[in-house]
Amino acid sequence: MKSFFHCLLVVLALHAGLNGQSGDAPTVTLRADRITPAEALRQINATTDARIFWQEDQLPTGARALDLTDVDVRTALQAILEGSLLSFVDYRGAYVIGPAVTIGTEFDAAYYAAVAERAAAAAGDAADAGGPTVIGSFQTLGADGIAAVSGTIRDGDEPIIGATLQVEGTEVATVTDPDGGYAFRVPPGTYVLGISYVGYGSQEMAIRVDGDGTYDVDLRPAATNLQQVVVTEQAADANVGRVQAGVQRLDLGQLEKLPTFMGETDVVKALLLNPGVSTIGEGATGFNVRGGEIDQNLLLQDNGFLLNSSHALGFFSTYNADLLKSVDLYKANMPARFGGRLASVLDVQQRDGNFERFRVKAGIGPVTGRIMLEGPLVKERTSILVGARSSYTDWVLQLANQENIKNSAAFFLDGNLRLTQRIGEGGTLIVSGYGSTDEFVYNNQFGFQYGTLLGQAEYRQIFSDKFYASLATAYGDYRSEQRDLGETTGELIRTGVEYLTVKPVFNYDASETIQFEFGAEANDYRVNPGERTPEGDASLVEEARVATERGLETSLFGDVAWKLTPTLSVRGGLRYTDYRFLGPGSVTQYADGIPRAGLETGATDYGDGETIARYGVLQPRFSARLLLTARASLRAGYSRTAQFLNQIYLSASPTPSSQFQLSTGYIPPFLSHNVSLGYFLNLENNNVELGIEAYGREIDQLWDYRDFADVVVNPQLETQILIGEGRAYGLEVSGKRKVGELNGLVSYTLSRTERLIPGINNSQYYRSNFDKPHNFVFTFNWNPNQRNTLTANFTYGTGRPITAPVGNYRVENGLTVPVYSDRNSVRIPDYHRLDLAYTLGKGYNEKRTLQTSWTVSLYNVYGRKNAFSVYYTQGADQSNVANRLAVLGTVFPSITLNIETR
Amino acid sequence: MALLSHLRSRAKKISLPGVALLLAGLLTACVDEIDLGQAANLDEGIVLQGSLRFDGRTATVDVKLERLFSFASNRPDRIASATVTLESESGARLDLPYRDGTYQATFDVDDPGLGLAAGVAYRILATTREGRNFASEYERIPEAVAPTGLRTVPITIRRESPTTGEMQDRAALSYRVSTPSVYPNGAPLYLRFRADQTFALSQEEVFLPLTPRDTACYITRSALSTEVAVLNGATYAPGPVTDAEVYTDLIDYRYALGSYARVYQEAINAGAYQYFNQVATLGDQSQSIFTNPPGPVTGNVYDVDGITGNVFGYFYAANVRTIRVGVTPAEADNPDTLCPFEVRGDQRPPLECTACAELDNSTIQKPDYWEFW
Repeated sequence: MKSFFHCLLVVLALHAGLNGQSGDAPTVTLRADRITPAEALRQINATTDARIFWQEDQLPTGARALDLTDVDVRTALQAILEGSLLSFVDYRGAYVIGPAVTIGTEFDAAYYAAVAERAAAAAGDAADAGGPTVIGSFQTLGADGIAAVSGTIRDGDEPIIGATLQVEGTEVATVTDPDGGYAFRVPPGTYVLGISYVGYGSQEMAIRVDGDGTYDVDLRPAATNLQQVVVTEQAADANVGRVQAGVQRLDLGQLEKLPTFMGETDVVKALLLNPGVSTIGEGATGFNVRGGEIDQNLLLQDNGFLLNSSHALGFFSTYNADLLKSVDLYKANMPARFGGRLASVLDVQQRDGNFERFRVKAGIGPVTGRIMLEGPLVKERTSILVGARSSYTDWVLQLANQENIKNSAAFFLDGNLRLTQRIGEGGTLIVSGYGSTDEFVYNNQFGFQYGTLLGQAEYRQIFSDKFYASLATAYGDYRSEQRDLGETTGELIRTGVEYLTVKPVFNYDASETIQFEFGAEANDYRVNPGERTPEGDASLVEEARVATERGLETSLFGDVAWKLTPTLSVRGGLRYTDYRFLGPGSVTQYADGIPRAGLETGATDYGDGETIARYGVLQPRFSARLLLTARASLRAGYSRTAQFLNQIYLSASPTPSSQFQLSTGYIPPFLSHNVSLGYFLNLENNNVELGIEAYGREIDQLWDYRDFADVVVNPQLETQILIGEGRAYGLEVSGKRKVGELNGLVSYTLSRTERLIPGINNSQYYRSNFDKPHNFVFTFNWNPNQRNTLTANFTYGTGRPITAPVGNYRVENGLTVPVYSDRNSVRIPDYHRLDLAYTLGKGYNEKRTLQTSWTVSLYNVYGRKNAFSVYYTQGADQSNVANRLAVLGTVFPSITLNIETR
Repeated sequence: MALLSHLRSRAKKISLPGVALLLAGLLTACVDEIDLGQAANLDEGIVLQGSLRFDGRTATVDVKLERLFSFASNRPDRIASATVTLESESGARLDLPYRDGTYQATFDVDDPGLGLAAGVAYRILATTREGRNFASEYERIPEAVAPTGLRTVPITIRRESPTTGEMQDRAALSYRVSTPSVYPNGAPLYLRFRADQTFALSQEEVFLPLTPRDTACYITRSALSTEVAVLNGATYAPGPVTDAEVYTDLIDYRYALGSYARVYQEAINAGAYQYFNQVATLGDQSQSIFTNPPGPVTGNVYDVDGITGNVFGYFYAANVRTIRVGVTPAEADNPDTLCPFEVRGDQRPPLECTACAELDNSTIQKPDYWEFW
């Protein structure tokens, strides 16, 4: 019986007056001299909470008398249908009326309910000539009343793999397979289908699902459908629905609209909008996650990692935003496939070049420019993606009215190349390279030069729709130089890290509710801890070098994601890391085994590849999400993290020339327990995301520097550090409205990060270098229409702690010696800043080959002199004063032109 | 070399103007004074700073006693009413009377009670008028080690003009010492250097150019000013230290009639070396933002009764040997002004001079070692 019904659906609250007792089965009282069956049924639906479904044209039309008093619904229906060929079935509390010969044999009540609902909706839709795309029909609707929708997402002939489909207002979401195919099941109804894919933005399709059917989408890059773009790079309900704790996905679509410094779109700066992520300020290298040091972030670029996320000493990010597919930040709680850092993983994945046609995109700012080219080398088989960025600061430097500035130079250049080759059925080979160089010279006095080379290859194979795998290898080489150009002090200090990574990963989706991921990872590090060479004939600097160190970090990991119930999902994993500090090398021995200068008793030599020290660390990972409602969830996480490669920096702000240090027999790895618990709530059909999350970290093994530590080219670095523990805890609150004429986000973090190191600060807890108790970010977007966006961004953060002089005394030659406070007991002034940006977006004309957009920014609108650092000077009268160095002392305007082809 | 120059140079490598003006947006950086309110964190404290310098014959003891003063203050609060005593490890004591701002005394090897000799340890005891008792640890006089050479090397130093802010190349001399790095028994030497300079000025009103004349003044000044120069022999061991730079000096009027520099090489103990090394590090941080994290300087003075927490300073014993080097006007490239006014920036050199004999530490008695005329 698959014909169209035309029914009425009436749902009422329980009619307590008729029931007498709340919670009992509804009873019916109906007295009428003349009443039609349809009218009688409508009255019952209207006056009780019974749900009765029927086909109007099947009902007898004649009226007759009814006298029912406090009878149950079943009795009432029998009385109403008496004498007709109709019957009914009681299905989960709903009564479905139909021909007696089919009732209960072909269709269940859900079917009738769905059809009834659909029919009601169809009546409303009929007047809407430009209505949604209709998928399927009632004839194709399954017997369970749920429609199966399938299709493909393509860009022309090119399937889009990994596009996210989200049925708005439901929990239904899926991802396209290697053929661009997808499938999901929903009850018939009218929906908004959100489809998102990097480079294509997020597009919303209005669909009306009547039954099983196909729906193929020809997705075009976001530029061609700007009107429809709603930028969400993840499932609409990810805030509530994701299982992994502590992860933030960067909204790449919003990047270009954010106020920028010098007009350069910046991934890392955008990360700072998230709760728990902070930085010292302009000019600071890197970022801090939940109070961690900057070197405690694993900066991934695909499968390789970067050791410096900044160009120009922190003003720009090393990531070229035009080339990215996704940016995920895992705050301490991370899946088992990640490791090697204590505080976070920044998982940046690059996208493939376009397999169908060539595209060019470029941006021109005041001192930086960038260009991206992508397209097919062999259509549908091989694609290329090339990007480059560079600075051109000379003209700005020449505007300076001081010779020392004119004699300076600042330059960076980076480039990306990515080749993607599809091989056979389900195979993909990706080869990519990245190179960057930075150079600074100040008035021929000192300079920095640093650069990264990163080469990667990855082969992915899809064996079936349940089993797929990848094998990746990466080679990275980071080198930095710090140059003193003084005549007698001229020197060059080189440091660097070279590594080779091999990482096979296997994924097996056992069912829709349980998926496995497992694999291995090996990192072979070769670290140059430092070498010093004199520069210039008159230099008095003596050559010194610390021998290259080698470490091998090998990990096995396994992860399972399991949907235990419709509301409870968990993700658990284990990662075991075997770390070995390898020879060749000479290890100094100390009296009592305690490293201390002057207590050396000898040295032990180790051969090439010989294990000098070894650590094994088991790192459990666990996340759980409990859906409280469709729009609210609790999420908890625990992870154990370990770090074997650390950055050595003693300065107020890390510099690119900071050294790196492997864990040795004397220098143990950092170890941390991380926990978090959060409540997340979505409103306005997932458009508003709210979250509150508490976190805690117990760092049970870390080290810090002794007072007056000397770490530059020091072969006995172990004598300069002390070992202890730390703790961090905080509360992160965030709110976000994703789309709409007025949208934006607000986040606040209340946190504390402390250390306890015997031998420092009288062995009492002291604030860590990046302890910032209050951090507040507010971003407001006004989109009067799709093309124009006005953005305001306000940031506030507690001033970070420093060790400051609190008193003085003099030595006998008149030199004033400052007496310093307890370590990190004084704070620099709080940081706050307001930025404004106006973006004139790309036009709507889809026929134009070349599209342009403009972004005008005012950075630091009210000219706040935020302290980058505080240092002390003596006046002529030998009195001390504290000086605030503000890297940006005034408002900084910029304008950026973005150009791209379709 | 290194250690000495590194101690000074490292902190200046990345200087304030560079970061502020270059990295910061080039035109928008700024520096201004702020008040961090840290003075509120200063507890009461006292500083005992002293030395016993032994030249092989005579020991000079010099002790300063001051109260800790505020970070923003330039007015040390000297304590002149305390009782300060030098005590040898054998228990012999020598009271140090307060004179010219310090508690000081001199004694020699012929003093039978104090047993002055290398290897003997001494300490300082001090009692304030309020009855607070302070003491230093015992410091043993190290064996003497004489420098083997001292020479000057002409160099060019880039300095920022105080008037224009521009960097200028200035002629200077680098004073470099050579010395053993270890004691005969192989133990590393720890050295502190002090230096003074004696130069000549004309006593008459003069007009440029001048010729040397007999009526000259000979003025002696500290050459190191407030700098602290130390050397760890372990850095060079077991070979000798050759041409370690002790200090650099800009060439100016002081070299016009000739100049002599005397370097005092003080053999000190490891603890004293660590103390002065830390002091040198702190003293070099004034213009740097990328420097080592500071901390409390490790002294050897304490409150005997444990009442005062903030006790700073160091009493050290040194065995001193000196070496002298002369610099002729020609070696200094014949600087063209003789006036006792320091010429700064683009100022014109003055043509008239005041009577040089009125200057501090000036004498018209030609030193014995003066060989230039």
